[in-house]
Amino acid sequence: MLIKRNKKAQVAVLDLFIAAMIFGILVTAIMITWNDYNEKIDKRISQNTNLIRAYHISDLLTRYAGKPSAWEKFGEDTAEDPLTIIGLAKEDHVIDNDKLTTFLSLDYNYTKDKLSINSYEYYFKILNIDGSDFNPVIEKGIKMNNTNYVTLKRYVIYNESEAILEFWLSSQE
Amino acid sequence: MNLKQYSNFGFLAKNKKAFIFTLDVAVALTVVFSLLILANYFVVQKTQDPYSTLQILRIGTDLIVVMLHQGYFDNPNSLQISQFIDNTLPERFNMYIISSSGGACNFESGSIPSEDKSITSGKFYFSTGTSFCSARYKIWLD
Repeated sequence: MLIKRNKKAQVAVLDLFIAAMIFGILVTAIMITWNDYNEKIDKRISQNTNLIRAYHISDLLTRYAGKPSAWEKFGEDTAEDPLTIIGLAKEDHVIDNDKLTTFLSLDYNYTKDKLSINSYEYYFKILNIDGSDFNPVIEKGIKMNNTNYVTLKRYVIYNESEAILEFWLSSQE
Repeated sequence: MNLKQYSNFGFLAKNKKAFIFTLDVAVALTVVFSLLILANYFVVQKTQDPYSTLQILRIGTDLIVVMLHQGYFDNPNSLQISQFIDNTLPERFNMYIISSSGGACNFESGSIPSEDKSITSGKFYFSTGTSFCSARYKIWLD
């Protein structure tokens, strides 16, 4: 009788042990999955924020003249800075050569400040419609070799022909 | 006799117990795994990128604005517009433009949209010099 009772107890303990083990495995699996998804969602949010920011900046560059609209005539004047917003367009999607030349000559950090992306790095390039470079190459900024960047291409008119404005935005890691 | 009966009852009772335990575990595991699969399905569905549509739409609008500026719609030529689309759009992108406002406005360019693809669409207006027209474009990824 005593032996029988002991055996029963052993079965009950084994049952509990197996149940606890299954529960532990499930909880661990859920926690790992939860953590994995949290990381993925955080990364996706960061990527989407960067993408939206890049679109806003590329919109400024391709669709607006800037503020004041003739800011290129002032250039970078540190004593009295009239430039509020950088824009490169003379019409919607038509790049103004004077604005572009002035923009390329501006200090990189100064342009970052004007675009309100001090904690980011950007790279700007204008390419022929077939993807080849202009001669000389029209580019500005730093192309970061990290994974946390977004890149987008906008179709524009440059020198009366179709061109591609490429914009990279990278958050500093 | 009594002993036999007891023994039979004991066997039955043991079997019943085992059956209840197994059923209990099976039900519990089914419920747990169903919930896990369901949760995973919804999480995966929620994390699908909604911004890819935004990029496709932007490419479409950019291209339309450029074509408007370059005068492709001043006197719409289906073949010319189709060629421009083919030469300009990035790989895997497809576009279809249709205008059926009547007269000189009517044209159809690009490739025919697939029914099984997710299509992003927009409407724009243009003038041919003699009439004001509207057209719809559809853009999608292969």
